[in-house]
This record gives sequence, C-alpha cells and structure tokens, in this order.
Amino acid sequence: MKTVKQLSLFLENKFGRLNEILEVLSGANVSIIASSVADTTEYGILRLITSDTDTVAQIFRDANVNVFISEVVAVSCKADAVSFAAQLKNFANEGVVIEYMYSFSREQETVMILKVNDIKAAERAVEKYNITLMSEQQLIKL
Amino acid sequence: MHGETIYYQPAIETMSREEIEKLQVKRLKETITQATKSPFYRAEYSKIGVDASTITSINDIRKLPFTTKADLRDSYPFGLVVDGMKDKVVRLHSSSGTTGHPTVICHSQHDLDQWAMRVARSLYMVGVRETDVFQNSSGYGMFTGGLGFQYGAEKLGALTVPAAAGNTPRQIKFIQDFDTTVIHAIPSYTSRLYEGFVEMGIDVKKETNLKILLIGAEPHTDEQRKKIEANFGAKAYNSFGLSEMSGPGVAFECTYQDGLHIWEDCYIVEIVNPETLEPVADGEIGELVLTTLDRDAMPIIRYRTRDLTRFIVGDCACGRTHRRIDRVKGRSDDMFIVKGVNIFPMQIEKVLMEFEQIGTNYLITIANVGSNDEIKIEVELNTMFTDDYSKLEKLGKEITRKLRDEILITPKVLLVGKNSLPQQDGKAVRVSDLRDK
Repeated sequence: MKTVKQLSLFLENKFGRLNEILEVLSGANVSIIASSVADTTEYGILRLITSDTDTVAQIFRDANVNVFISEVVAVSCKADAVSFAAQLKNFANEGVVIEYMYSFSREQETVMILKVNDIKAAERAVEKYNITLMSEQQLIKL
Repeated sequence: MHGETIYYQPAIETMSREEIEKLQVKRLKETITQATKSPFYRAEYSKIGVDASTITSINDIRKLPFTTKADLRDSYPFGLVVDGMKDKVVRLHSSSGTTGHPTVICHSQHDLDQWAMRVARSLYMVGVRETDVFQNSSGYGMFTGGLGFQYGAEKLGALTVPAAAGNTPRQIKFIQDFDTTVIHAIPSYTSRLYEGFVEMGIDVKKETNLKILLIGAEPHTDEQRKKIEANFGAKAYNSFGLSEMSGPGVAFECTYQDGLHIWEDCYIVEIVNPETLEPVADGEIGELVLTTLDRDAMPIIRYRTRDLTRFIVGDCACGRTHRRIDRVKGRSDDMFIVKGVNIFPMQIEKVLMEFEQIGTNYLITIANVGSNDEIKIEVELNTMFTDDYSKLEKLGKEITRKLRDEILITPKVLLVGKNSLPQQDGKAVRVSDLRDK
C-alpha cells in the first residue's frame, strides 16, 4: 500500500517557536506539502509532509530539533462533504481507527492525511472500496 | 619503581586505624601550634583559651571552633597566613567570589609538594602509571583542577598534556595525536567532548586509546557516570577536592568505585549535622568538615566545606584503610526547602537519569504561585521517540510520579526540546529560586 512519510517535530509552546523552527529550512530547496500543529498546554507537535523527508529530517537534526519520522496514508477524494464523509466511513467499516487527520483541498479535489492505528486494516479498506491513495511523488506534483 | 603493587605509598595507604589516629593527633597538635602563629587563629583561639595542649585524643578536635568561608573572606587576603611564612609562600589560588571578597589560599613549596603527592597517590590508585599520557582538559589559572592535576601527574611521571578547558576539536586532535590514555575534565564537559567525537564522526571507543576519565569539581550522580563510561568505553573515577583544602587529591575513588578514599594522613574528617553542628552517625548524610594536617603556610582547622556527604561504612576491598566518603550529595547551600521539605538537586537528577528519553540537562525553578511554592522542572527531550501525544504525556507523568516518590512533593514537569536549556560551560547551575525573599 502506498504510504507517505511524515515528519513530527517537538514544538515548545512559546511565542515565535514555530517561526524559529521553520526558518531552519530557509536555506534548503524544499517544499512543504502539508502541515498541521496541535498543542497541549505545554508543548505541541508540528507535523510536516515535505518534498524531501530525509533531507529535511537531517537539517532539523543538525539544528538540534527533535524529529520523528512516521508513515501516514494520503487519501484523495472529491472535495464535497458527502465524499469526504464516505471515505472516512469506508475506513470505519474495516475497523480502522483514525488517530488524527488533516487535509487540504485543491480545486475539486481533497487530500486527507490519515494516521491510522492498523495499516493492514487500512489496506483492506483501500482494496475493498477502491480508495485512491497518493504517493509522495504525486503529492509534489499537485 | 613500585613494582606490581597497587599502592603508591603502601605504608601510608594501609595503616591501621590506630596508627592513623595516632598520626592525626600528633599532626593536629603541630597544626594548632603552626596555625596560632596566624593573626586569625591567634585571635580566635586566645579568645576561648584553646591551644595544642587541648588535644589529647582525636575527639578533642570538637573543642575547637569551626572555620567558615566567611572567616576566610573576612581575613582576605592574608589573615590566615602564618607569621614569617609570607616570604615562603610561592603560589596562591583564589576562588571566585560571587559576593564580596574571594577566598585566597597560600601555599609554600612544602605545601605544593604535599598536594602533588596526594594527587599522584590518587592517580596511581585508579591505575595511572608513568607510561600513561594524561590530558588535563580542565581550566588552568586560579582553578585548582588545572595546576593541581598538572603537578600531581608530573610527580607520578606520566606524560602530561596541559590542554586546558574548551576548544573541543583541538582536544580531540590531541587525544588522537598524542595517544592520550587518561583525561581529566568536569563531568558536564565530558558530555560535550563526547558530542564532539560524534559530530566529527570519530568512534571514541575504537579510534582513541582513552581508558581512564577523571571527573570531579561538579556534583554528578552514579547514573551520569555510567552514561559517561558507556559513551567513552572507559572507566570514570570521581575526584573530590576544594581549593580551601588545596584542591584535587583530597578524596578519590579507587578501582572498586564504591566511595572516595579521603586521605586521613593529610586531613581530619568529620561529618556534622549542618543545623546542630553535632557529628552525625556513621552512614548518615551531613556536612563535611575538614582539617589540614600537613600545611605550613596556611593551615585551616575544622573547615565547614558546605559539601554534603556521608561515610561509607565498612572496609574497602582494595585494602586501603583511609575511610571512604560517598559522592558529594550537593552543597548544604544548594539545598532548598519547599513546603517544609528539604530537597537536594542531586535527588532530582538521580531520578531524571533513569529515563533514556531525556538528556542530562535540566533546570529546576522554584516560584511562588499564589500563596504556594511550586517546583518546575524542565527536562530536555533527548530524542523524539514518538509521534503520539499520549506517549509524551505518559512520559511526563511517569517522571512526575518518580520525582514525587523521591522528594515527596509533586513537581510540575515540563518537557522541552533538545538544547533549549542554557548549556553550561563551567559548573552547572541547575536551580533557580524565584521566590520572594
């Protein structure tokens, strides 16, 4: 099954920190395809999908930023609310738990980035319901 | 030549307790006679009517008053120097004075020779020999860890590399080019040095001949030591000294790494309750009080070191009879009281070291929150080991729980990113007390 590499960065909850972290990338020729920040009261996790995961991870490591790489699933569907809900239902039917998700839309298409608890179950849903997955290369071209 | 013996001075290092005490009583009487030739002790001792004849057994030392850091400051610079010895003083060392005068310690050539002998004895104890290459990556100048180790290692006959502190790439070049086998540095610097090796892509275990690290001058836990040993693939031994007692070579671990032998032919060792100033029971933590027994120019009697430690009860397998003290548990000054509980930073450090997900750098902040005192402990996340909030939260809770078990108060634990706490170049400052005073 096609998966996409995602970077998770530890983000201290203080003014300007997000900016500071992203400035680390200013010299690198990379694009940020999708991002999401969630926070607790004390710290956050910045999640990024970039055009070159390994290079970006190394840049962050060199800058002493705590980085973790994980695999997520990028699902493509039509941008209307009904299609959006239907896709999630397809995963639910196969018992897949979505730990978190974020999405972006472009013209008539939505891309959902899903962190699932069980890749095997997700794969079953993808086959059964003919779900369209995106690879990193496809995401870059959007 | 010392042949195959494990002792540098076997007759002294393995003396019976009876012999040690006899020697101590004799030297204490000589020390009092010498000390009362200084303006400070002459005035102090005549006031309360004590002199060398006051001492008939080792316990009589309790009849003498304590000497404090404030006494040294008030007598700045030469009030404790023995009359007539001023011209015989060949070197002085001064400690950093954060408030008011610094303290000054004056040494005659005899004092320096004795100091070097103690350091040589200590180095020999952990296996340093004249065939070794000893790199001293410690600050020189007024800091006694520089010249103290320098002269001791020279006396032993090792090849010395006085690299001094800092400039990590240069330190690493020396270690490789000169085949350094022994290094002395403060513990926080050994971590920086190790990071330097990693950054330069050099495997310190395979591409250097380092076998012994000497670490001291900064309180550290056994967990920290084990981390250092694992990183370098070398043994790390704890060194203890303080400038008022000359410097390094007061006490040192032997190869059994179970406490530091304190050289009782040169010092009388007492451990007292810092509040009552009465001796604590053997094995209990208290403040270390030391008396010099072989210093001519500036003897110091019953000096309150502020260092907290305890006697290690029982005999050491190495055969040395000089008693052992535990690694320093912090300074009696560093102790802070929150909600009526006495807390030492070392207790907190010990708990933090148990977690591999966090690094060695931490900061304790105590502040008033409303009418309550609150302890906040910031710890650096070593690696981003998860993408999962619940795991990060679980780690925070687990650290909090273990700290609570240790200090009996629930601290606020805050995970922070790598290298986000101030890096410490010298002695690490770990506690910041922001409470209204």
